[in-house]
Amino acid sequence: MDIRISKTYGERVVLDDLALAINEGEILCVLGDSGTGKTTLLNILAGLIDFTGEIEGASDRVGYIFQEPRLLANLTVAENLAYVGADEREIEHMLEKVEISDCRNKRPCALSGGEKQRVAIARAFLSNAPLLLLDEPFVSLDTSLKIRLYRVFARLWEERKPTAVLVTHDIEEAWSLGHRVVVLRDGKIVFDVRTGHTTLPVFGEQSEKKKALLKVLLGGDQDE
Amino acid sequence: MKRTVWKHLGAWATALLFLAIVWMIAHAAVGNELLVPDFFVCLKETVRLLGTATLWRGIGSTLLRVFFAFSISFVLALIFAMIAYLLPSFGRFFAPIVGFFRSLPTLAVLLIILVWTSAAIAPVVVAFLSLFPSLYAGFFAAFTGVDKDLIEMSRVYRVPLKKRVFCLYLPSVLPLVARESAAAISFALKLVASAEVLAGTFQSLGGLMQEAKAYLQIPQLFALVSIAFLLGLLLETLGMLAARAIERRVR
Repeated sequence: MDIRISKTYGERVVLDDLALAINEGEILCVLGDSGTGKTTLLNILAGLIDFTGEIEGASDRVGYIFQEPRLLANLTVAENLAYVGADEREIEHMLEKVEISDCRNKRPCALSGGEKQRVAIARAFLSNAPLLLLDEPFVSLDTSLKIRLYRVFARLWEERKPTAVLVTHDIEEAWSLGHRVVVLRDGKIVFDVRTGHTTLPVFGEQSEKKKALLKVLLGGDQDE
Repeated sequence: MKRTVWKHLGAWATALLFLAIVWMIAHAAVGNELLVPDFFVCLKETVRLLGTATLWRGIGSTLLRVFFAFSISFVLALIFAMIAYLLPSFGRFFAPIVGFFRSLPTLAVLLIILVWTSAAIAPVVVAFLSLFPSLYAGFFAAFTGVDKDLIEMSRVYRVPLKKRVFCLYLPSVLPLVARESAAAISFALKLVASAEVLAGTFQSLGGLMQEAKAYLQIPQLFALVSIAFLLGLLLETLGMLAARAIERRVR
């Protein structure tokens, strides 16, 4: 997918002729400070907001894991998954994979934060969309739960290998889950690096590439 | 559950007893049967009236007007609120019109309406003029209160409209609509009865009040007002029970 887009809100330029090629089947992590247009980029890819420019090879179906789980409070977990069109068999199968089969008939108010996010992950994968968008889905979770969910996500991704764009503030998260990491600043991509990972997630890896990424995040400017 | 019901009934009985005592004290203090008649005389008159066909015909025709005024207001408010929600430009255009309706001195307008229509129809129109803007505002608030994040999620996942309506919109909107309607229906009775009094509507609760006042049958007037008050209370209670049942069902 080739992207060349701009987006302004009034006078404020959020994405400034941003050019990005996303390869099929890769997990692309987008790092950047707050307000740099990361979520705007995802919303454009999801078709939720207008933009100027063009997206070649855009997918007409997307799975979106939002920062908050966005579950319907009046429906059970299974009903929430059926809401996006999944059938009974698929739901059972998916609930097993995200390890919340026992929550099938519970309503969101009876679930923990981690369980809710598992439902959101299940919903995104059940959509069978060729493009997955993830907007800091693990941000409010504690470390151990985060790591468990990284594994759940990576396991599900491995089955169909959809193209995924993960937006995050967390360099460790980006490096653990991404095949490629880009840094967004002032509406442009200022750094683009391949992690070289083949199996995911990868924890605690130290490399020159990661150091360079950290340097860029701390204020330097560099292109690979 | 049963305990809560008894608690509520107890509270109501205590409040009614308190009002009766205030009435008795006022009667003793004023000492004029034309201004504040004896409570027990009025109670006897109420019981007598409840046995007459005239009263039940009056109640029937007043309730029929309440039903018409409420139904027309409900349907139109729901339709216009839905259009305003779906087409924000229509909402902006319609807001001043609703504001105009809201600021109308309804009972004064009754005099104009009486020129155009009959005393039987005017109370319905008056009640509509008051109910429509408040129901419209309530329904519009219910529509705009639907969680924007969930609407966005439904758009992303291309959830079919029918599913969105039944799983997202109705559970969110129905409890608010039911609550607004429950409050509106007893308000409608107040409006219709007041308009009937002013219009002197034949064979209606308000018309009977006007007649009792004209012939200085003060205990009968107080009895009719008490009956209208109890009727309003009954309508409000039934409306609230229906609203709660709807809320339990959809949430």
